[in-house]
Amino acid sequence: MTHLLEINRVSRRFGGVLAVNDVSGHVDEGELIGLIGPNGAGKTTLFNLISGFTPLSGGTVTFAGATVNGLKPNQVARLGISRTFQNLRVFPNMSVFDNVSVGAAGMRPQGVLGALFGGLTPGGSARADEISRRTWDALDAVGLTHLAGELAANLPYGQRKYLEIARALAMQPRFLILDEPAAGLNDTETRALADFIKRLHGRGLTIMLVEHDMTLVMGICQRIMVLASGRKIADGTPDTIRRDPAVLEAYLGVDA
Amino acid sequence: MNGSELVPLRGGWSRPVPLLAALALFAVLPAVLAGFDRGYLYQIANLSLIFVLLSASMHLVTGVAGLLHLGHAAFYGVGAYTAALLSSKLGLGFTATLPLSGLTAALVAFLVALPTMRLVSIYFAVATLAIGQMLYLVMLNWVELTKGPNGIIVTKGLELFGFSLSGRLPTYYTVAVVVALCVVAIGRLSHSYYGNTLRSIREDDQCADAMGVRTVRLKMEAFTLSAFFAGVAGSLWAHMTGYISPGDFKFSESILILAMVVVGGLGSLPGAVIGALLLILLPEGLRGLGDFRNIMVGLVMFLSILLLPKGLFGEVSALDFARRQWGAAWRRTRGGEGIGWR
Repeated sequence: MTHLLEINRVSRRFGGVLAVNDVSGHVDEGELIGLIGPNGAGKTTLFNLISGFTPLSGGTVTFAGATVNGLKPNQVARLGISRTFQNLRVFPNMSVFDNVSVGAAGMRPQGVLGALFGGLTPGGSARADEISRRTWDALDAVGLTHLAGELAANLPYGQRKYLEIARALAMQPRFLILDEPAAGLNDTETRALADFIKRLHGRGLTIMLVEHDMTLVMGICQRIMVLASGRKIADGTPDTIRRDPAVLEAYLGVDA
Repeated sequence: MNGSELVPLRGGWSRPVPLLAALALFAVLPAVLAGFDRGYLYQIANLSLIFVLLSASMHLVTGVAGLLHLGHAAFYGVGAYTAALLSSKLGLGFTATLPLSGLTAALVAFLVALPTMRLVSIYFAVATLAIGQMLYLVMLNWVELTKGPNGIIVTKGLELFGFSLSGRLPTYYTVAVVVALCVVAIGRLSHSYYGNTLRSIREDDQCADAMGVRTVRLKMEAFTLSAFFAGVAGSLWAHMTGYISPGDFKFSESILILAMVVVGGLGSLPGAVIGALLLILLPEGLRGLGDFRNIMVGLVMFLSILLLPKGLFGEVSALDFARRQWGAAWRRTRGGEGIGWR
């Protein structure tokens, strides 16, 4: 069987540093998978390689049969891969609704003529309606509907996280990558986030969680890949990862 | 939820006062000007309208798409020279030169944008500064074509398919109608999901890229469209005044247009219109002060930026205004808040 995402011996060199060194792996349709590793392990770099933000130094990435290598981020997005950012990147001077609409309108562009004459043609109206509906659906999914008219800059930190996820959901992706979604959240908020991610997964979305912190990932992921110093050191269920000597050494520095 | 819950926000007539007041002002203005019977006031009225269009077109590229454009007046000049040359060399009338001026300015903008669009922030600004200077120097020094600093006399006035509109009153109404149509078009572009994707580039272009937004292409479109409208303004100017020279399109004009957009409110179309009216009418109104008037204009600009950094009519209130005034929004349920674009 072919995998949804296939990472084949990818590497990325920054000057003399091999940030990602010969990493292979795969993600299947419908999986909820974690990518963990200590600080500087290459998680975010690997993730940037998948989403087109950083060009590969070697290896290949394929998604649903299409080669991802060399594509620009917006082309990768249109294949159905959607991402959030580690350091929150909402559009501060736009309303919550307008923020999320960019996710929908980026995938289904309205275009110059659509904007000029949209209301006058049936096709143009249908496109604007579709963007509106996708946006409302995404806002409903994260529970920000009541704040739709609020300026994004006015939202507290925790809600901005959900805003960013809503924007990614409005793209209606096949594969969602969340980069350190729990960073900066307290325990209660992290638990709520874990439940939310499980619900999204329950609706059939394939999700990859990139996390520095083990607890969230261990609690909800079906399978976990572990990176350390740019190499993949383990890949398996949370239980096997927990007992894996290489993982313990990377995280705790103990000679297990 | 299902889509049937989306209800269009009915606008326009619910709060008609500001719009009707503006329409009445522009329609009645000529009667008032006729009362004074001075061509000078017509010139000021027409000039304000042309700068409203220039400011609105710059709003699209700088206010909405967030590209700091320091050469806008040069595209205004390309439009004006296109109209003047087509009319003096080929005998074309205003009906033909109006669209051709816009298209020529857009074509020039497209060609210069090809290599510059990948530049970001300050580098892009400096590139547009250089483009503006290059175009200005071409107008100034290509004497065989442009007659250089002597300028070109445009003998043909405004007309529509041969029907002359060159009297004072018809000229005013023609300029007003063309400018109004262009501003409506710019309004459609900036108050739409298309406008939202342009705004997302202004806010964070990498992030917009990750949302599937074709950032380079959209920046090119915003730049080219704004040049189109500047070219249309140039054609109006050439046929209206009957004489153009390179001095009308120099760098200081670009800065004046930029100041209009910023004083009015970056990202706000009504703000761009108000800013243009303010910065054209204020210096004229202060003529009585003699040499002090430029100091006064500078002071007003300085204070308005200091006290209202988001502009006289900021983006947030402008978007809200557009949604309510023109019903340009969907709402979720009957009686709900108008949100989104339609």
